[in-house]
Amino acid sequence: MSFDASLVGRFLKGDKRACARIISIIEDRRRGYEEYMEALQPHVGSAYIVGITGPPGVGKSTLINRLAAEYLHAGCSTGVIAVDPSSPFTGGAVLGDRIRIGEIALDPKFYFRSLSSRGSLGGLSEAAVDVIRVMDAFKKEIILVETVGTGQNEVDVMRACDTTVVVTMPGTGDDIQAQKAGILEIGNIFVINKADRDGCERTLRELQSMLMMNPLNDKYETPIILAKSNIGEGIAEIKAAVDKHRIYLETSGWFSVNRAERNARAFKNIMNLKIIDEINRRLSRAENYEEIESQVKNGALSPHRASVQLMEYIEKKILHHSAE
Amino acid sequence: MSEKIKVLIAKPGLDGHDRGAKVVARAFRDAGFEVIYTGLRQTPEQIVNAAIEEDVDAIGVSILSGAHNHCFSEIMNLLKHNSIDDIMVFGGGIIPEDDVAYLKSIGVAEVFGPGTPTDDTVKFVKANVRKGNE
Ligand code: B12
Ligand SMILES: Nc1nc2c(ncn2[C@@H]2O[C@H](COP(=O)(O)OP(=O)(O)OP(=O)(O)O)[C@@H](O)[C@H]2O)c(=O)[nH]1
Ligand SMILES: [Mg+2]
Repeated sequence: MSFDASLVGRFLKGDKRACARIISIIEDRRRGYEEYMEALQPHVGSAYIVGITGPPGVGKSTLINRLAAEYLHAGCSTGVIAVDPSSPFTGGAVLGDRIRIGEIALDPKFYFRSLSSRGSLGGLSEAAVDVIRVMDAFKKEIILVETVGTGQNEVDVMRACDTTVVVTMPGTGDDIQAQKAGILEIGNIFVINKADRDGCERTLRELQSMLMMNPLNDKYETPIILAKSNIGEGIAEIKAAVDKHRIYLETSGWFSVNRAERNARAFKNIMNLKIIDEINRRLSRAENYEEIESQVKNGALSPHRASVQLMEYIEKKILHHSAE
Repeated sequence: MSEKIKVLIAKPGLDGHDRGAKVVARAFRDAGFEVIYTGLRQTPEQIVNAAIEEDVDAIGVSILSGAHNHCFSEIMNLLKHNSIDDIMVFGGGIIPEDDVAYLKSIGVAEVFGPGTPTDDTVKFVKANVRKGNE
């Protein structure tokens, strides 16, 4: 399929179907997807991106439904991207975050899109980040991104957000501990959802003491908000906290620094994936590649030894060759 | 990355019969499809809106309440109204033979009743959606 300029034209006029189709092209990495990214590039950059992360079932989608309603009520065009895990065996997935979306579903200023992680080798975060950019170009002022807070992919997605909200719930002290690496550092706002449940106080104390370990920042204090998302309690506070963090980023200069880093990271990730693909493609044509692979399989050759041999091949035959 | 078959499983109506929808959703997942499950009590407007936003290849409707003629025709009308002709609509549940003929006449691709092996529905989708044919 080749680049369709009229699709972009419809997209820029605000046509939902055109937006949906372009997201698919970019998500699937269909041939020529880069051209669409390129065409949308001048329109990217005005959305504010909020990541919502936390373990399965803490109430992220419920919270997002309420928070999106709050933004829509304030007149903001709002988008949601919900990333769900796919089965590593079949690549299939049941994406169920939409279940929590209530009456806002039909608001003309609202757009909700599910993304599966597709069990692919990397690339999830890269595709998700590009889908965020498409929604940005689609003139969404606020984009809420849901991910399950485990794994490097998810952390990468969160790093593409301006503000990251980490959601937890009472009685998950161990979870917080387990998430500590990575998640605690990237959280700008913490929410203890399901505050109607027992153990809220204890979770609050645990979270407070863990946040004390973070580097001191006298310009921004990481808030912890208690919420009952199912009945809408605490949502206005979360929105206010996002606004506050945004003001902090903008006045401190971090906003533009973060975005510059994000662009650089996207570039690096895209290059890495393409380089790996290209080298692998050429490597698979090496005359002894299959031979080496079968020797590794039957144990005659160690993976390390094999990698040294193939790196030599890359050096001599691929890199050297193209340098000339 | 590859293109996956994407199906919206929708459950319109006010009743809570969601077992069939869940069974079918799981079977589709296991066949490697991406399934968007929207939960209970979806209006035809919500169903078509979700299908548009998610850019699905097919809408699978599960109805056991008896309101199938109404629900399906609303969905077909909304699709037509939005000039959408590349999303296949099919479904299942408790739907009498006579009504199946009517539903097919308004453009519903197929209807699967109780006891249908899920393999059959998977094969049907693979053979009939846009992507499967490419
Ligand atoms: C289990 C059941 C319930 C459970 C539902 C639990 C749940 N979470 O789903 C409970 C007990 C809650 C229930 C309640 C009621 N029920 Co009831 N229930 C049934 C029953 C016995 C089985 C349905 C079922 O789960 N089957 C198992 C699943 C796997 O099969 P399936 O849904 O048919 O799906 C298969 C195919 O149809 C197809 N399929 C289905 N959907 C889709 C979608 C796609 C895309 C595709 C491709 C295929 C497909 O593939 C599936 C796999 O083969 C049926 C009778 C029957 N034999 O079907 C009555 C039945 C559906 N219930 C009925 C009624 C009337 C009710 C009540 C109103 C009873 C009452 N008076 O209180 C209440 C409604 C309450 C409410 N608010 O919803 C009637 C409906 C009558 C009608 N259509 O005119 C039925 C037909 C019983 C009858 N003969 O009277 N019910
Ligand atoms: N008691 C209580 N239940 C809640 C609250 N918020 C959400 N829930 C319920 O928690 C369950 C899970 O909510 P979701 O919003 O789907 O959670 P999630 O984090 O998006 O789940 P995944 O996407 O599967 O990771 C639902 O049954 C909600 O109704 C709350 O504040 N209190
Ligand atoms: Mg969710």
